[in-house]
Amino acid sequence: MSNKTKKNIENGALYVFVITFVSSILLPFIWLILGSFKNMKELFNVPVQILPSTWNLDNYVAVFQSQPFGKYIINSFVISLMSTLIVIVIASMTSYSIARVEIKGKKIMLAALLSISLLPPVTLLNPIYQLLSKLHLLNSYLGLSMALVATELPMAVWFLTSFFQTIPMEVEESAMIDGASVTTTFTKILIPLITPGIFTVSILTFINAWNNYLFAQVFNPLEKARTVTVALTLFQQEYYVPWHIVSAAAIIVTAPLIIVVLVLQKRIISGMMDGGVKG
Amino acid sequence: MRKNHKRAAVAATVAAAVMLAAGCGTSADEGQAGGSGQAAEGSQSADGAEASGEQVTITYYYDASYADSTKKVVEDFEKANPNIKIQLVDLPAESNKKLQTVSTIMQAQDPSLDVFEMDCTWPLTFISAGWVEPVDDIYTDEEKAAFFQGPIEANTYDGTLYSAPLYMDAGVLLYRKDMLDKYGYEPPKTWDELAEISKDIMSKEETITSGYSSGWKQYEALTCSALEFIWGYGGDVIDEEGNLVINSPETIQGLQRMHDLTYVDKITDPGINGYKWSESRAPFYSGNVLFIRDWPTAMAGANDPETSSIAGNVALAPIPGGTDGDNNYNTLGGWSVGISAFSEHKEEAKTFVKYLTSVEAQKTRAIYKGLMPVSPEVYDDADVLEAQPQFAQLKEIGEKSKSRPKTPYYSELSSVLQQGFASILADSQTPEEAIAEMEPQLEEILSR
Amino acid sequence: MNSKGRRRTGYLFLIPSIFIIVVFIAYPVLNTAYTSFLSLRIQTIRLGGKFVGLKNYIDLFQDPLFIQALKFTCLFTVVAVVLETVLGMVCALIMNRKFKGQSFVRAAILIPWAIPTIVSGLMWQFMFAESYGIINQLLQSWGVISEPIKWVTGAKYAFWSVIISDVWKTSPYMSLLLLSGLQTISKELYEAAAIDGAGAIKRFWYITIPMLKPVLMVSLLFRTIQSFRIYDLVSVLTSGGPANSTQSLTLFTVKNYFQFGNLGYGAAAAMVTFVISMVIAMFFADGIKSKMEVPKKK
Repeated sequence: MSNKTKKNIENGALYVFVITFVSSILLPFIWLILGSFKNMKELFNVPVQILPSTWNLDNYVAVFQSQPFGKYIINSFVISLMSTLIVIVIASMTSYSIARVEIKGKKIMLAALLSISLLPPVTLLNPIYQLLSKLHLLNSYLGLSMALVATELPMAVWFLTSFFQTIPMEVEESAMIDGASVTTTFTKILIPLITPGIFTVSILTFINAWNNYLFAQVFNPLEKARTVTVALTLFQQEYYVPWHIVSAAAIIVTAPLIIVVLVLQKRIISGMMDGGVKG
Repeated sequence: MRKNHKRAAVAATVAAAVMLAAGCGTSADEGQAGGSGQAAEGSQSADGAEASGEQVTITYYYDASYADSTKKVVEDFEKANPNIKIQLVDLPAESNKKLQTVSTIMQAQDPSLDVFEMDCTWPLTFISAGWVEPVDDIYTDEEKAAFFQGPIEANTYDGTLYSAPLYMDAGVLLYRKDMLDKYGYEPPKTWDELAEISKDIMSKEETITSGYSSGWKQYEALTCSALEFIWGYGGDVIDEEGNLVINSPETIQGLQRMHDLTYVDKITDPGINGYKWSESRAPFYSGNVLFIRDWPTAMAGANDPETSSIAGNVALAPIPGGTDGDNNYNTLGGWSVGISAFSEHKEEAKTFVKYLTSVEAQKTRAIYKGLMPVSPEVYDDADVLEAQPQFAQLKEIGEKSKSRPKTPYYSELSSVLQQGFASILADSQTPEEAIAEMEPQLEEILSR
Repeated sequence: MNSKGRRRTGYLFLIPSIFIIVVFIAYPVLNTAYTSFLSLRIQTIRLGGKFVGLKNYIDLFQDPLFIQALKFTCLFTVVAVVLETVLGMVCALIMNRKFKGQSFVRAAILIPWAIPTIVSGLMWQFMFAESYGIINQLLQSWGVISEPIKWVTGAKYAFWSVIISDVWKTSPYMSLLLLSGLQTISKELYEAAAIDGAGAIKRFWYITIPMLKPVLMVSLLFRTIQSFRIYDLVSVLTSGGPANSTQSLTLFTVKNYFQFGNLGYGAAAAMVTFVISMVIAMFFADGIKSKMEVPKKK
């Protein structure tokens, strides 16, 4: 077998695999999109009806008519953005100390941070609820954001620590010799160097915050502070699930994230490449 | 480099400080017109506003499935009581998630919740936890007597009415009227009849692939369904005095009948053991199932051409009974309304609860959403009957409604029952074996 | 360089994190630990809790439902994480090569990860549905199966339907993480090995795996911990059924804690989850260790 045929076979196999893989990932999602254009009868048809009979936006209109979904999207956006910002500020400071400074108690710090990831989130509900209740932070953007910060912080610290470790010590030293202070070095030199990392962590945190259901549902039950993920479940009723509306709402909830991911994907991936999870 | 340390210190503490400081101001209700205050639990209403005749806001945690009718009721109430404003708060769809939400608020003793809806199996739990403010004083004895007594008893402990019945639900059998008419059948009076009719029509009609469907998934629906079989043959789980009586030939016969629908008669929908109520409806609505055990609210969807292929061909009948069809009891469902013991506006809340349970409010719910009233007189109301003709039948069915076992530990009790029933229906245990296994666990729960 | 100053800054920089730990982590953890030693039920909450020592823990390990939940959770974690890692690794290796449409593929695989679990749970439930679900209908029309498979309700398949939906959601993400690790390995290493006559398998085993280890460890740590606390997915997809066969530890905890109102017992179950996760975390200590070291001067 010539080298060229061998290469062609290899390439062919590669494409077959890639196509199978991508379609197995995308098909369920495409099925959800198709479902969002169908009506109840078409959804439950046996044998299955692949395409909707008519393409119209009725289900999408219904989503916005039955609930103030626009308001919820804004709520979700503000809460996710707020928790992301807080997480980034705190995590970059913490991971700087852990990665670059000889201080005691690093292990305890990392273990303590990790421990919130180890408890089932439901057991955090009561204590955090009581805390937010006392601080009058229920049904507020900040209260929910802080609860999300607590759950997202460990991962952010772990990621950013590895980014900080990729920067050689000399960078900091030469800056110091030039007379820059520790804080200036931190904000003006180190932070720009790990921008890709910060970017990745921001996306991770943003998406996790956006997708949170448990905390959002219990801490922010009032309409004025409700998030889209919670609103999504309110279409269901005890005895009846309007699948067509739920599908449309699911697309509306997911679409902003997918757009963000698609637009920023180059940055995310390069962020991960530049050091991502290097231990 | 002293200065630099200072700056670092500032940087470090700012982050922490921002979080605390912002806590006082940044809440979601900024920008909300007329801002109903921090979670309405609030700063403004707590300042002795009541005395000066200012508006008091009451939060009402309710089932959003019935938003249209509830909003109408609230509108009417606010018109009549301009000094009380009701803030509606949606609870999640599933009963368990509702309980989780309400329970979290109660454990924090948070005053942000004033009035809330309770599944008919919760009141005893909430009463024994001390979470509900009694409402006994807002009803006279005559007023109490005007309700159906089943729902009243479910909310009563030691002779005191702690919460008020809001609407009820009763198990019913929905059937394909066109099919039964075509083959000259009347709705079945017993489970045996139901099986025979099913077998006959399944053999003659290609579209009818199953005779019977219900929600037999291992959750609350299974308890509701199985109790109807048990009661139908004269059995029960707990007797009037609260003794455990589940180990009886009648109970075993009922459970065996339930099992046999799948394994002997082979008429149940293949997915029945995994269906919640909502899921069991789909095959019925698409015209493949003859009978379905459901709640009266299913009628609206069944006869709506938007959701159902069999619109106009569905009718409603009582749940079949055991041997002679007399014991055709159905499981009482429905919701109550309670006032939180931690509410800061109990008087206003009572006014609101009184209105929620009034004949007028019951009429609104019945007309708009087909929810079964808790006062018998509403069933005879001309407006109600015009909007929901099935109510003529439902009054009688409501009289045959039976409560699930009464205990503060109901949820745990029901979970044990579900497990036993599920293993019978999966054909992995006989009714005798399952009961033998359940008995000591039930005994322990009741002995607390 | 002023190392004393740097150190002080280092400590100062930890303040916000310590604040979060104290307020949001220490209190819930200690509170849960304390409650787990009490006999405390909602029904008798007015009387307060009674200290019962280890009784809740002893009861737990005699509770067949808890044992079942523990077994399911462990089995699920192992199977899901192994599948996700293997699949993720294969995909990462392939995506590490150049081909047309590479950037599209990388973007596309992020979609499952961006879908909220409650949505993906509902979506899979709908596709797995016995009669009207597309999976059974397709398999039937292709003649693969004659009877519909009871994906979510059958004892045999429920476990696998949970696995399938979880793997669908997380293995693309895993492959992306591993890809980022692969790309930090220098090409020269492989070239040198190839010259020395090492085959593809040898190169993978002696170069890729050791170089990838740190990335692998951190990804595994977080994935394992997350899988071990699985809740949303089983709650939506199977509700723990049939016959509690897919009831996870967290689902068990929620049921006892909220539905039954047995706070002490629920807290004990949570603490067991906590301790086991802690052990798992220590198992990955290798991956963690390198984090502690300040980069050395070159």
